[in-house]
Amino acid sequence: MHLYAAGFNAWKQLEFSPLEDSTEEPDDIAAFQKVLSDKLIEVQYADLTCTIVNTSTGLQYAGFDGEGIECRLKEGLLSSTAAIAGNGQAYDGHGVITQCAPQLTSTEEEGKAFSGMHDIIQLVAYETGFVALSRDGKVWTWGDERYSATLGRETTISSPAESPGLVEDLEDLPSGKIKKIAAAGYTVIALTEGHDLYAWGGHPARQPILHMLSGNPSPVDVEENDILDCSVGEMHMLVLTTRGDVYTIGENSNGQLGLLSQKTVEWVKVPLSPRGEAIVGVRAGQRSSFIVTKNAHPT
Amino acid sequence: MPTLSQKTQLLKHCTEAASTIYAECTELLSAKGQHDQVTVTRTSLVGCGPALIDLLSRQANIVQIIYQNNLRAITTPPVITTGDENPSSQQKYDLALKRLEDIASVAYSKFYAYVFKDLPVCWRQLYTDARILNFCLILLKSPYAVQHKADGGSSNDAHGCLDELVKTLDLTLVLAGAAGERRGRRWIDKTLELLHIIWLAESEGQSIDGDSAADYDRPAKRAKLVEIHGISNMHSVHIAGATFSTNEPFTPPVMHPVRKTEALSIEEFQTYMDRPHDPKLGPKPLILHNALGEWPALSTHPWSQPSYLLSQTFDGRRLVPVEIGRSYVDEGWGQKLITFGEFLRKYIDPTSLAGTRGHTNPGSNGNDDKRRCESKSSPENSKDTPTPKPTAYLAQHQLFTQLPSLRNDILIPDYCYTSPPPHPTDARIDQPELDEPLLNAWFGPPGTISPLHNDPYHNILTQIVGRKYVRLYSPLETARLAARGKENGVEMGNTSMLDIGVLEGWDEAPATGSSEYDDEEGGTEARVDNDEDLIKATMNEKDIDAFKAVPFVDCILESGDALYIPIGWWHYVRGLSVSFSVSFWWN
Repeated sequence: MHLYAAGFNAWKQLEFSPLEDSTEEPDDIAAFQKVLSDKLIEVQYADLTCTIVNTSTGLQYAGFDGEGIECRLKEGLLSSTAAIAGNGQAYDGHGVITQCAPQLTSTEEEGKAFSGMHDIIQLVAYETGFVALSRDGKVWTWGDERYSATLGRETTISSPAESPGLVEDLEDLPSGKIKKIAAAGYTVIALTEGHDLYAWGGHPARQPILHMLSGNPSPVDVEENDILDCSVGEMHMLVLTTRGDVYTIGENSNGQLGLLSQKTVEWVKVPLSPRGEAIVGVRAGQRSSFIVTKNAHPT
Repeated sequence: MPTLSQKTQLLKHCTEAASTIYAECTELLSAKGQHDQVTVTRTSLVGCGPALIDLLSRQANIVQIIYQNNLRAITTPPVITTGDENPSSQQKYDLALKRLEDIASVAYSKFYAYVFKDLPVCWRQLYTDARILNFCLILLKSPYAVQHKADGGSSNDAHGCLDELVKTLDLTLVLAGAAGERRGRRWIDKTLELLHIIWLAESEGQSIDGDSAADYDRPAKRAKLVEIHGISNMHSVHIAGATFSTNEPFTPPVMHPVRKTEALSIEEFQTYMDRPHDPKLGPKPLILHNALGEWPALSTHPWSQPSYLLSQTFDGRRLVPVEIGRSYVDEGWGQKLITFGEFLRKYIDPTSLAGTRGHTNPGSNGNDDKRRCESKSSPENSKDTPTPKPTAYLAQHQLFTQLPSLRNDILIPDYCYTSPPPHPTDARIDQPELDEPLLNAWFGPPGTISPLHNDPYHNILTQIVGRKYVRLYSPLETARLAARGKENGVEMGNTSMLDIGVLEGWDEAPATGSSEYDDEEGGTEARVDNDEDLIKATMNEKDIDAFKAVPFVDCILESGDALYIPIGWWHYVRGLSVSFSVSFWWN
């Protein structure tokens, strides 16, 4: 398998083996570039400053070599059922979802606990809140009520912004239940079993990544494609279609779209079709993008 | 080389900033390694995490190195310019600029993620330090860093660079409050002071003697300058005497005049507050006529003259946050950072600027300057649409911390050194005692509106330029004034849903406009939804009659007046002409 990356690289968070001599200040990667090959590649974690990939020989890191990563991994803070929001709050899911103190020293204060959400398979954070997905496809949101569009639901006295509330618009969708969620910045996306992509969110002072973005979860049209995988960064988004193409949209200030343009408001197909490889997954860091491929078997 | 000393000082000032940032980061990073948190103060960068500190430290180091190289280059002619440099050093320079922009944008995203009062100060300092380094880099490529030959071709470059330099620091002052103990506001104020002296000398092409800002104290000299440079290409020439238009499109009737008196002594004013007619209500509003005495803003440094205000703002280059829209409760209302020159020219009074050569539109300088200065787009690059111009209001802004020279044109009224009574009905409103009064500037064209609201302080509202209508309702009437609640997570309980202008028939009900995005830093802030439709729909004639039955007092403030607004009094303020007021909150 192979990992391609583009985007923000100030801490060499896209470089798994040093590409050039290390005294130079690392520049961003403007077009998708192969950064890792291994029998197994799973992007486990990708944030602003570092990337963690699961390989056949164990975890591999790229990026800022902070001491925190190891212990955060041990504490399960970098798992798929834990997330760190931009306003510094960390949440953790163990049957009961717990809100931790802003800093990563999770011992100093006890958190707020939320129950009532069972069998959570994914917990993600956007800038000011959280989204949880259960095995049976239910989606909950909670966070700062000033950015209510990212909640994707009505807030009421009985269902306030700060406590998990069900996103009812995502119940009984025509193409099946939600199987994957992703969130970053002020955007949340969700993918159904039937390959439909839904999105909601937006920031009152910023141009949204998708012009259709609002506080109501709505289907996203990517040139009429079915969507296999999806991910979202602070101000960009990328999807993998069932045809095996990757499309990106949004801000490109750090090259995170892997394109030459400064930004795009329409979906653009990424010009990446490596010979003998098939694209199997996509992942966005806050300001970067990753594409995972595997060698196609000639059958 | 008259300005050499200032230029040298400024370069030294920048070198110091880069080296102190580098030292501070290095210290934090090494302390982190030893699990030694002793040196960590509340105001340090430590909360930003080691990754960002590391990135900042690398950029600080690069700026240091570039400055050292530049210093060496200056001593040996020919002077290095952008075009002559080898590509790799230019690439390094560009990458450092980009990284500083990245750091600032990461910090800036935190300004939104937190409610401002909860925002850890480290993010404001990170933003500030990144912008300071940013300034250092731009300065190096500007004519203000090295002695340029006085060839005509460089003046446009100078304008473009100056725009960028001023903008970089103003963004920091306005958005981040220029946080940080070792540099912060102090560093920026000094930088702007030096830059102002250098810029004045460069643009006038003559020696500077002493405090250049004091030129305005010598009208005779100024007149002479005008004569000398009258036909030359000097953009700092003032048309002495041109004042803002006094045109008043609409004048509301004053129905229940506020009591008016000649200026009181501090003792008399204390007595006025201590012995109210109605002890339950406390002191009532009072106009103090001719209370502003010999304020320079009303005499030697006339705020009524656009040329004076431009002279204090790098010819209008300084950025100020203005509120766009009729009233902050309207749909489509938003805050925007624009240059002071654009604010004057586009929104305040186009006619008064017709004769001046004030630098009011850096955006029109052409792209060459921009490229040369590696500038980002100007904050006012939104196209000039021919749509009806919205009202813009420089309101409730800490203008005087940003522009200390204007602060020196006004005096804190003696009345603010009295001890006023507590809130008449609700002690929870009373705030901890202020060390000194809070100053706010209120500068706008005719028709600006502050909707009916109350403040948690006593207020002396001083009128410096133009006229304002003020209507006041007593705190005892609060129950009848339809206070708002929490709206979209923003507490609006001190603002009424009643739109006085609409209810009195002075204004059309505001249209519910479509919102417009502005992803520039300092763009539209959290918007407040409007309830006008709701009000219109739910307010029947009975309600309107009930509103009209609520007693009030009102007045029109003239230049030189001060209005005492006691704590808790609801007030509606409406600019009638071009108007510049300053409020002083105290307790």
